[in-house]
Amino acid sequence: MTKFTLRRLGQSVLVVLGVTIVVFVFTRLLPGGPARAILGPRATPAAIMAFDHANGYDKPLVAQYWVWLTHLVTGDVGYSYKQNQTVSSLIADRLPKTLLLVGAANLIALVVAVPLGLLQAVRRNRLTDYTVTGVAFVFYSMPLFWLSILLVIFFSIDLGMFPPQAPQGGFGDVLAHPSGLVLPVLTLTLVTVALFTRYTRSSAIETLTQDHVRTARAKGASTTIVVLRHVLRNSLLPIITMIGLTLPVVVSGALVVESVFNYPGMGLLFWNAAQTQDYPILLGTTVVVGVATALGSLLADLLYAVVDPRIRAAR
Amino acid sequence: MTLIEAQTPPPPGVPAASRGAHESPFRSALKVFVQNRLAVVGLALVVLIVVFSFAGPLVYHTDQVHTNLDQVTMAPGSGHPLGTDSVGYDELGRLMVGGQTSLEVGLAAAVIATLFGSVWGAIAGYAGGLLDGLMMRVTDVLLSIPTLFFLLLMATIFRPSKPVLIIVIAMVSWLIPARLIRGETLTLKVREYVQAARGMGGGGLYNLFQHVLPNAIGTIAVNVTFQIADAILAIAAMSYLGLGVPPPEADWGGMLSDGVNYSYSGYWWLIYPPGVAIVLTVVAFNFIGDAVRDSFESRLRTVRG
Amino acid sequence: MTANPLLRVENLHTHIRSGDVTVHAVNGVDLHVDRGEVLGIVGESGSGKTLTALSVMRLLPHGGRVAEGRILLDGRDLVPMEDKALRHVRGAEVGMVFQDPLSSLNPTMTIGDQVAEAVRLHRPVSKKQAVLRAVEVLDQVGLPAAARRIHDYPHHLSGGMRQRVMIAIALACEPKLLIADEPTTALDVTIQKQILGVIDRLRRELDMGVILVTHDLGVVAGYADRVAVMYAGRVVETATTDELYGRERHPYTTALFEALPERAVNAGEPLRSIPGQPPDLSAPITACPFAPRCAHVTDRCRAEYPPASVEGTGHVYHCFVPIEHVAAAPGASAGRAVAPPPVSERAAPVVVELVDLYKEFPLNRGVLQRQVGTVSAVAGVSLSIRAGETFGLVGESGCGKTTIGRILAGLERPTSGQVLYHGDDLAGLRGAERKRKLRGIQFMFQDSAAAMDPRMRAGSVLAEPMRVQRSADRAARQARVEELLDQVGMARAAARRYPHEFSGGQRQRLGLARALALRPELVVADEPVSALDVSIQAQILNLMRDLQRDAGISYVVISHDLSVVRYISDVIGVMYLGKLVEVGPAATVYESPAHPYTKALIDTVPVADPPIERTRRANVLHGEIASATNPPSGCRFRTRCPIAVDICATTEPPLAQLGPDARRVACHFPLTPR
Repeated sequence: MTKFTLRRLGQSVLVVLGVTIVVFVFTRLLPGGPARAILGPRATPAAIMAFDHANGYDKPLVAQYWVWLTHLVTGDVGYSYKQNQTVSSLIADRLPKTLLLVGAANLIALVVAVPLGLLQAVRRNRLTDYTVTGVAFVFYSMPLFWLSILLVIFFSIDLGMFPPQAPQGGFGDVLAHPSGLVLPVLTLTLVTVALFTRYTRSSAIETLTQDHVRTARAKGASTTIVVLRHVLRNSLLPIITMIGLTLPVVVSGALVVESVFNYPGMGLLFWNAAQTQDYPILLGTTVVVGVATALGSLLADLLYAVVDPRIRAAR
Repeated sequence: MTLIEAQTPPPPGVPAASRGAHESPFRSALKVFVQNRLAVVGLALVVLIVVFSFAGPLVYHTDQVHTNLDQVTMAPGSGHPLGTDSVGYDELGRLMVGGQTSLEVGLAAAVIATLFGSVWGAIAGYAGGLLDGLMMRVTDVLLSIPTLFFLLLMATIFRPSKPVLIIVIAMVSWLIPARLIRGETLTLKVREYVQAARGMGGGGLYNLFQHVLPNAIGTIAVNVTFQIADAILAIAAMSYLGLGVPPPEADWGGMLSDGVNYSYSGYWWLIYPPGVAIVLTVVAFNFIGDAVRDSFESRLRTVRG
Repeated sequence: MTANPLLRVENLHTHIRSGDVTVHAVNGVDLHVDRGEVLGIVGESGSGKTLTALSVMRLLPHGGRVAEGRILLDGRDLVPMEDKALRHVRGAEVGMVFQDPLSSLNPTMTIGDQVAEAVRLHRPVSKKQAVLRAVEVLDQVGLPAAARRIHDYPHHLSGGMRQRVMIAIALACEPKLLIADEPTTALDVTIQKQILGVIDRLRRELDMGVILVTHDLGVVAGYADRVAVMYAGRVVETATTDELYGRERHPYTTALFEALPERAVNAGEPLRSIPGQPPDLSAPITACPFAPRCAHVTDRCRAEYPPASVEGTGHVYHCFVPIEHVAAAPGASAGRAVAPPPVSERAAPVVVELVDLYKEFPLNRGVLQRQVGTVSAVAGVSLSIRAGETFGLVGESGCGKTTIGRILAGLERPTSGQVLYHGDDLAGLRGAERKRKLRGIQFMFQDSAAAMDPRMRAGSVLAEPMRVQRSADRAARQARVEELLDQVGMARAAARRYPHEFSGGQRQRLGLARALALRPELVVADEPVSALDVSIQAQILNLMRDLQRDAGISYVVISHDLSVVRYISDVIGVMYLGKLVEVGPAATVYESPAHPYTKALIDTVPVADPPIERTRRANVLHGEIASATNPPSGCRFRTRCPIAVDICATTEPPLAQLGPDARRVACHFPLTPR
């Protein structure tokens, strides 16, 4: 599978480069130019010139990009004058927490949604199917911030089971207070489950119509065996693709969830920066999130190749 | 018989010709659509919501421009069937105005995105080769930046207004239709009827417009409906993040995010009306989209029979 | 009929509901199978033969149910049986083989696991023992190096090998009954023969009953002990094979025989087709369902369904006016001299000539379609097609015959070589010139349903070639469309209907009409009848012949079916792995094949004549077609050739003249003397 991997890696490199170009274009679009946008409206012309010179903004565009890119590669994502911190140190603190949130939500959603979707497919157009579809539709259709707040009202205010705010400390602190994680993860999971059940259901329905399922039944296999051994395995492939495809959606969801629960991840960092127009943070976060998402999709595709013997064979 | 849920092929022994005379593919798709109860429910809901939002203000007059700080957060009662909001707007009237924004922005963004995406995808798919690779990497790049991050970034640069919202949402929404239509084009361009046309001497553009795009209409139509639903949710999320349309304009997302600030005060009328309106609209468009997809798929099934 | 047969089906009714339509697909079927016996069920599509088989396994598609009747396996009725008990019957007592061996195997499981699964479902054995048993069965079905190949996935195997795996799955637990539903329809004739041989051998070894469901009267002739002929959901006639193929009583059975191209060739007369189409089964039919198409129909036939008439030992038929046999007319021993059709010897001018044509395709693998080699699809083919003549191109899948057809029609460009059309090389032409020239050569697709835009009405479909070529104005196109519909025997009103509203045969008529729209000199027909039932196939073949006579066009007919090619062609070209191995007048090539491959093809095509077919059982061409990516050196057929010697591996035999008959053959050791 080396060839597949190499080619896919090549594509990812291109995509990551593309993400940096897009973000670079945004820097150029900033109101009043990057220097004024970053240093603030009261910056002196001298300061602006110094800034432009230091960051290479007085050079031609391509050279500017090159300077910016080399900075990026060495881990210099920018400097927040408003927070007086390097963006990379902020991200280093926040990224693991978002990964935890998104990872946990995806994992739990898979564990819940795949069996549910299979069940729906087997019971297609019956009460079970309609019920799950209906519930999934409602979760999918609810603005996420509203869903978050409803959950807070129910679980924190009414039942007092979980805190309404996420732990505010470092990554260790977050792990040390798992109860604070419950509601953010639950919210994100519910939406993800809604997405995943739909995919799993349609993928499993398609598999169920395939001839080899009939062969399995002709062998004398029971419904359980057919579903677990034949349908699941063959539906897994589209499901893995689905994880890659929905990743950006889930990350978007994380942004909202983080801002509602005050969960100190990338999304909250980004949102706060958006409100204070802290452009270095906005751009730095976008690059990192974009790259992380591209890598996530890459991972899903590589996993796909591991699972499917037909792709594995195309060495 | 619990398991095999075959997409029932047309039963053998029924001559194709007996299935009603001169039924165009579109007509038979329409028939399947109408037979789908959820689709009818969805369509009815959409009609209801459109009438409510656009015809409602003609019957139910309220001032949706000037705030009225004497009458804030009044509970539903006489004069204000759904109460008033935190700056004194009549909630029912606001729901109508907000609905206009959500529907207009959602529809416009979805249509622009789908049209642009379809053309992009069709060109990439039909051209193939290097151009295809290049065009698809562009969509990959933009897809890698999660929608809300992209939207927020745009919104910090461009002041939000209805047209800006439409453009901004369209700019992130065209990617999915581009991918879908490219995939569709790839399968359609190798269909035998396209080859047959090629054999007659039909050129690339002729084939693209005569055979490929018309047969991708189903996918395009399905996409528009799903895009409307997603756009309405995107507007809501942006409003919550403070980047919705500026007052005195309103949209459901903004009303809802305003309302949830009062969650603990028991002002339910500020939360449930816009919340339910969003959910109903999104669900309705999804029902329609699912049904359109089913009906086009079943059309293809009969054709293959 | 024995008192206690292995399987007895009584008055079986199976209904399929789809939307608001209920199709009475199986309409009172009675049949039985004894231990060790092969029952052939023949019928055209929609006759209910497959659904009868699936009913026995209770594996009906969605919406299907057994509405009435009994299915007794060793005396136990399967119809009311609980799901759990039924699972013990499936696989353990009844095994089933399906038509398409690729889609019927799980693509994500190794074949060893798939066979072992069948074992473990019914036998209390460890995983290891199950795998051992899998190797044993795979060995039995003739999978080479089974112990090593159990780790392969289905996509690693050829079609024939996949079908062997399917049989292994069905036989893993040594069932008493094997149901084979069109087991060889998706395979080439030489492979078909191998697979039928495997089934037959295992039937004897295991003393199984076998139900062989097929549309092919030749397949049944060689391998079935008894035959049930189905029509419109009913068994209209049952008899022993020998009795049926000679003393059939039902007019439908007779009509089926008469529609066989080889019979028409042997008898030297045009093919008889069955007029009309099978009935609509969405309403119950109480009369004889064949009555509307029957030549002997009486008023009584239209009023009630004929009861069973029994004759001799178990010859049962349902007909008021059975066929009377004066003398044993059919069984026309191949010895009957065939009047060779008057080939207008060499007088006719050459329309198209292929000169040293090569076509290579990049070989792409995997989802990413990386090029990993080239497939040599056509390797140096030269041939010429004369005016008014039909050139039949025959060979197994992958031999390059379709590629040649597509190059001829301009759908594909050759890698090298020339396509000379009245002396101009089409391969070198571009743009408008090419477009204009190509008018004279039109292509007719195998599957007209796929080749017609589902959004266009038939009228637009027929007018499209003229529109694209701007060869006529609107009124003239309209007139031409009507003329074409007349020519292919369709109502003018058909122009307003959509392709999916027509039956397969009607669509094929439209396909032919479209190919004729520009008044071409040459029509390339790719498998024009392979998707059709015998009775419809005859209609299309006769129509093609008639139109040729009227319009004087030439055909290139591409087919895997030698009897079709033999019936319609003046000249036959036999292809193997990209090479033309033999070409010559149809009668000569067919009667005295000179190339071992031609002979093997002729010998393996099942003939609807039981005594002859039985004697031909041993004529098996072993092995499978070699790889076109890495073709064998020298003669490409040598890897399967029974008479190959050293020189065949080193020197490629040229296509050389043989005998007086304008026949050429590419073999070092032709079977008929020079």
